[in-house]
Amino acid sequence: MGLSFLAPFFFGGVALLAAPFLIHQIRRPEREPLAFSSILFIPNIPKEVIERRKLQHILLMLLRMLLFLLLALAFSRPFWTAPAAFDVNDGPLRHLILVDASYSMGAGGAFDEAKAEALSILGDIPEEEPVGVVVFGRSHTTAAAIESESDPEVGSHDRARLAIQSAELTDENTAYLPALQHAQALLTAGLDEESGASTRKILYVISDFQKNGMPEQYTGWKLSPGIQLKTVQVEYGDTVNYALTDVGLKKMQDGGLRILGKVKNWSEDDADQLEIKMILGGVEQAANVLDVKGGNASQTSFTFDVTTNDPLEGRLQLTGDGVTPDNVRYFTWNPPRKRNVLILADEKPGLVYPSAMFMSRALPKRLDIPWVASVASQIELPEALGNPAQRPAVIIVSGLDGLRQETAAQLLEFTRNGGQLLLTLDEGTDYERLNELLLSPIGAPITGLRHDAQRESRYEVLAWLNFEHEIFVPFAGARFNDFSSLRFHNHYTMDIGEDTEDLRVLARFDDDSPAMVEARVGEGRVVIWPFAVLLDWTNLPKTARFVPLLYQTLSYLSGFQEADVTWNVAQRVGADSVVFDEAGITVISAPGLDQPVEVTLEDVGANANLLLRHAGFFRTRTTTDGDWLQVDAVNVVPSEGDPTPVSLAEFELKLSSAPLALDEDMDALISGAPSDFIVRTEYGRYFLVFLVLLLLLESWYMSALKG
Amino acid sequence: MAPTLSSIDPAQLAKIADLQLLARTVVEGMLSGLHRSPHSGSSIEFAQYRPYTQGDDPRHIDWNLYGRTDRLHIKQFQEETNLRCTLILDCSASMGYGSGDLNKFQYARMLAACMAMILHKQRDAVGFIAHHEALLDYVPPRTAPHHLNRILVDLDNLDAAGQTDATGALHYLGDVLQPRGMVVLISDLLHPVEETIKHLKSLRARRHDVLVIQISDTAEQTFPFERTTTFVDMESGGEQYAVPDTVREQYLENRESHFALLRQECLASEIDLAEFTTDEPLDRALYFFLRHRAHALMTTSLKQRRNTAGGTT
Repeated sequence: MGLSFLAPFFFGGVALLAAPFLIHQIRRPEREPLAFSSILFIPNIPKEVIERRKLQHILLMLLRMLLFLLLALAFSRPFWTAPAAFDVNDGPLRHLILVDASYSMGAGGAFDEAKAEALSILGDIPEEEPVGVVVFGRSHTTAAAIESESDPEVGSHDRARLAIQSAELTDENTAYLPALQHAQALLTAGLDEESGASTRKILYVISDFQKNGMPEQYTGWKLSPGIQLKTVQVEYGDTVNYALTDVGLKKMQDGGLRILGKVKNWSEDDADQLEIKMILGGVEQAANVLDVKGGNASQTSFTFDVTTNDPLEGRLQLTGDGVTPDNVRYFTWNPPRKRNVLILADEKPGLVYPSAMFMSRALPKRLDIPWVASVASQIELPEALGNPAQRPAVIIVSGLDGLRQETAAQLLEFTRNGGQLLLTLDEGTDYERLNELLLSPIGAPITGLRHDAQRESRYEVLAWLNFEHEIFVPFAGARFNDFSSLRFHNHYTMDIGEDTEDLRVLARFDDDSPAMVEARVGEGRVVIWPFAVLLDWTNLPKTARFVPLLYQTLSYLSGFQEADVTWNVAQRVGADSVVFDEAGITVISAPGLDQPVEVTLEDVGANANLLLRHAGFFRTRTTTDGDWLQVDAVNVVPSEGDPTPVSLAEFELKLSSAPLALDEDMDALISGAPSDFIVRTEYGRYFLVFLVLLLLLESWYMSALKG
Repeated sequence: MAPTLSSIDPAQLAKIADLQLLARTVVEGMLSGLHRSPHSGSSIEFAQYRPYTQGDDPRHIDWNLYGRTDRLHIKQFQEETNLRCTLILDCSASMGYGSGDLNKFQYARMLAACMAMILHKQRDAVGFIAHHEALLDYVPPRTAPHHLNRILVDLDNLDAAGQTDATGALHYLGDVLQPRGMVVLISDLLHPVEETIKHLKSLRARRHDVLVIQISDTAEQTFPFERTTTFVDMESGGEQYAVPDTVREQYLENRESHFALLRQECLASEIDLAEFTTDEPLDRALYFFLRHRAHALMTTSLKQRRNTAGGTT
């Protein structure tokens, strides 16, 4: 009972109280007289004014001392322990033992010690009182329930003993909050309001009490005041632990992949000649040796060439410490998911550099290009659209020999049904016909041609770009936003004013005419470039801006996003988080999973959730969209290796509102003798509020004294 | 035009340790701009010829010599005056006060040295009295060549200490000085008005021209202090606790009424009084002194003529 401090070190700041005292004593006016030529003209001050002045200075000094006291108190985080207002000493007892099975407990025999502690606690509990056991890491498992109406054996000591003995370490990290919430639910299960109030509930937490197991933010949840918390801390001594805490993959310009591995030495001693192996597809490819100073981290890297179009599965691995789960870090590389792009262009025999040529050369058939481009004429369009396997995600209209009425209708239908269209115009386009067949229904008609005959010396530049649009977001920033090198010797004009939901201008020429327009048509979208991608119309295909701009436009239209999914052990995977947006079914195989599980888009919910229990690879396969296979890595949470402990006082204060029992109370409670429950309340934040108020008071008082 | 030394910041000037050197450089620099003697007439004696240069007054050209030599020469005269000037320097402890680099006493000493140098160069008899509550030094007015040196040496050996009692010095001066001289009192005047005025009036009664140069510090004029403190009188050692922000207005009022009374009394007694602060260049005070000296010379001359005329009729 009484006052204690969560951070008692800061209470040493009380010594600062001496500072205002010393300053006021040293700088007292009567101790610092000022020689003046004559006091002939200085009026006398009444004695009471002087006395009042001295009193005011003493008050100011006390105020400042109080400020420092509050500062020290606020930082030392005092809390008050007091008897709880209730007494449940006479009711029946329930016990629940929480055993930490996170992988850090594997160090130095801590888990065996935890199990021994649990058995010891169990031995001290009278046989007639029900006991439950929960094993927890990030998730939790009820190894032995406390009560069951159907099974009288539930809650027995034998079941609890068996559960403790058979408990196993997991690959999970520690999370105290869900475990305590689960424990509370078990302890209060089957109790109504009356019986709940009269039943004494005791919760034992046996853990290494790592700081990273605490909730990252204050959640507002605390253990019910009716549950008595007893903590038992196990220690693993000076166990050495090295961990691979991160792996990053970087695509290199020569087509290879570079793997960066970060190695952390959680121990205090230096690690010399630590061997890190890189294993691909189960075969060791390379090994590096690394020195890591105690408490520090170092990086190592491996490179290899990608020669396959299949996903890569690999891992980095080290050996030689007492905690094995974080010695392996899995990684994967998935080749870009290919989308079909159709370049719709007619033959133009007289043209040396037709715009379709620029488009197709910008989309070569390469592993790292996520599009498969093909060229078709207007005649071939129905055939291309009719084949489901080759149905394009995006059609680029680039160089038509006069728009056919059938083609316009097919393009409109394609777009209305969710297809995406990049429409570039051509030299000599009959824009009135184009408007009538295609652009007027879209709502973005061409109004004219900028110049009837273009000259080399006369050109427009892009005067404005919408850098907030998804296409231009990667170009935002001082290094990339310069498009001034693009010249447009001629372009078609459009009359589009304010943006609407269906029609947006993405870029404008310096004559204010739109240079890029996006329109929504049914389920699909159309991006219009109102100029011909020809060298006598624009230098765009010759500049370094062309390919990035085309890729960004296609990425935006095809909805492709780089797969960048990382999973942690004990994470629950819902169907909504793994199924591709347009794919119907995903087949999942995951580490620790005996057989594949099918998850449908309609099946999003608790049933579709899948718990990733171990590190390894998590594979999903779409049964539509070309039978696409995606492999993701599942890894342990590396911070679990951090041995920094949380103080038991902080643990109890943050997660248990009250009551907390001291050891002597626990003994008394277990034997059935009357005892007090304890309430702990932290006051640091109140001191901070008072501190701010006093600062305001002090500044006001100072100004009043000067005035 | 380059500034003369007299217009330099007095704090910088005070770094010249040799008082004689300081006074000479200041005075020579300042007097080089004054072409004509303030006084001419029967009491001048031929000194030498000098070739005429542009800017000289044509009235002083000796036309007879021009007729003989066909060259223009200026006829120079050695001035003979009977001006006796006595400098009275207040050496009380309050003169030792200074809020800046220079205290009032240092400023007053430089000023006195320069005045003595000017008077000596004009062949005036210059005397000197230093005092606080006691008479510290008295040098009677003389024109002897080494007389100035004695005054400067005495000035150099003085320091500000003790309490002010100008009445004693003025009373003594009244006894020892011949009438119809010039008396210059350099003081901060931080003592009761009545006694000071009484003795200044007695000097006037003996037909002396009296000039009072009041030296002040800017801190005395504005009372710029901020922190509450105890002020200690440099002369009496008395203490006064004060909150500057509270008493400033009253202080300034008290000071103003003290010096207003003094100015009023001086005006009534035809005593010139001017106040100078220690951060002002010396030339302001020196020009003020020169103007007064010129006036004193004219008065003396008129009186002499009047007396002479009275004697012959």
